[in-house]
Amino acid sequence: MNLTVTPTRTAAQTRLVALFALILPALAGLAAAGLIRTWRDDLPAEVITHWGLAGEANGWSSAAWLPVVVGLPILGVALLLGLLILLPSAARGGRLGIALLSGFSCLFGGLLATLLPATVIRQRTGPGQDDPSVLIPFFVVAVAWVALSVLGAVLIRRALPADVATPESETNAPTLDLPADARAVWIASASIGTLMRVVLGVVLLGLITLLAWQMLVDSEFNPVAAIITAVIVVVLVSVLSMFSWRLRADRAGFRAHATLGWPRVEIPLDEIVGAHVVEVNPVADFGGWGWRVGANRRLGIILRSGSALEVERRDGRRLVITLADPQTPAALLNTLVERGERPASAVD
Amino acid sequence: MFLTVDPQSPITLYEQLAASVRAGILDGSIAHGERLPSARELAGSLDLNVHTVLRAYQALREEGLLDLRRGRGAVITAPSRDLAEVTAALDALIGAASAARIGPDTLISLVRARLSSTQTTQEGPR
Repeated sequence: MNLTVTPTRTAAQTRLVALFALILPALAGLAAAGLIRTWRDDLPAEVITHWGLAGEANGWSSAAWLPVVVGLPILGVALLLGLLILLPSAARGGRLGIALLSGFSCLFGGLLATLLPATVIRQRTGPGQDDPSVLIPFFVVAVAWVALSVLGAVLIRRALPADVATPESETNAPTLDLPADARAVWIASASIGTLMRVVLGVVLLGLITLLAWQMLVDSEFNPVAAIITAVIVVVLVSVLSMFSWRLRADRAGFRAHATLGWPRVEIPLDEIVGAHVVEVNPVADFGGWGWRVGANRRLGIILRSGSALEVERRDGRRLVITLADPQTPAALLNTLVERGERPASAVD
Repeated sequence: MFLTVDPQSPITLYEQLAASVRAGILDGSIAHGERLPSARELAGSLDLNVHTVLRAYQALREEGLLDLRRGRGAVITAPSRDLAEVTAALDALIGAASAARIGPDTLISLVRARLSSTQTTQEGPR
């Protein structure tokens, strides 16, 4: 079921999205590769491509292959994000989602395309090699590129037609056959699937190994490494805490608490208008997994694709949580809301 | 898990709550190893006295369906079983009862009476 129906894009709108989501970042990647190619005669045979936390070089690449090493990842990411955004199913994400993703694709490609050559240019041999001012143009381009990406996102958001909420979202509002005085509670936990857990686990393990290795190599205390470690740990914990939730629907309303205790959402029953069963496509509707903001004032706890519970508030905001069985909590909430709206005298 | 009690029912609230958990275990909506909410939380949700919930948990523990441990909370201990035969027999029983015009309350009394006559061991506090 589509929550939002975005009218078919015109050719001009598609061209605008393609320009920022795919063409500009791809051109940036090609430009970076071409620029590095023109330096090939005064680069050392092996160019440093990676530095450790303490600033020591620990990755090298052949100068002959460097344009490919720099250009290919940028092109690949641009192609992946661009196609993801241009696919027809992405139209369901609403115009804000498409605008943000397009801006991100443009920004990501452009920043990589300035950052990578900037790390190479100081390694050139010959005149001016120790001149830090060669970095200034890269800085200017990076700032300009940020502005360009923001402009792209704004333009796309303006150009695309507004999302239209369909009355269909109101139709799938199940109710429960609960005796007038019966009390009920629905409790569940929701977390990401096994595959996602394995992927996250591998990423986490890799990061921890990397951090541990870096700490052991720099045996003396390094404040930069310590700060980076702390930031990474905080980010990881907050990301991880968004992938496991404890949910409850009862006479008090609806609440979702991350297993680690934060973040948490609580919606009192008298603020709920109704609950629906909806279908969610994580990338198209919310731009990914986790704690997400989507189009149409939707806040998402997105752990998988497929069926989801949507709780609609009085002020129009909606909370969306992907669940294997959203039918039961939706029906319970609708029944409790209906009961609360009925005048007391009508309850027999 | 979906748990419900009805104060209008003649069955006591703690028995209804325990039956609700049992039904969830049987239909698979409550899995082995799943943690039940704390008695205080559940009492708040269902507008029950904490002691009513604790009594239901105690009954489930005595049936071997629940593991109550300090610090770990209430954890379901019911490895999944093949219930196809029981379900089929239940369907047959319900069919036969409605053919014989036996109401649900009478049917349940009959089942209870049969259970207490075949079981020598006590199944739990009444």
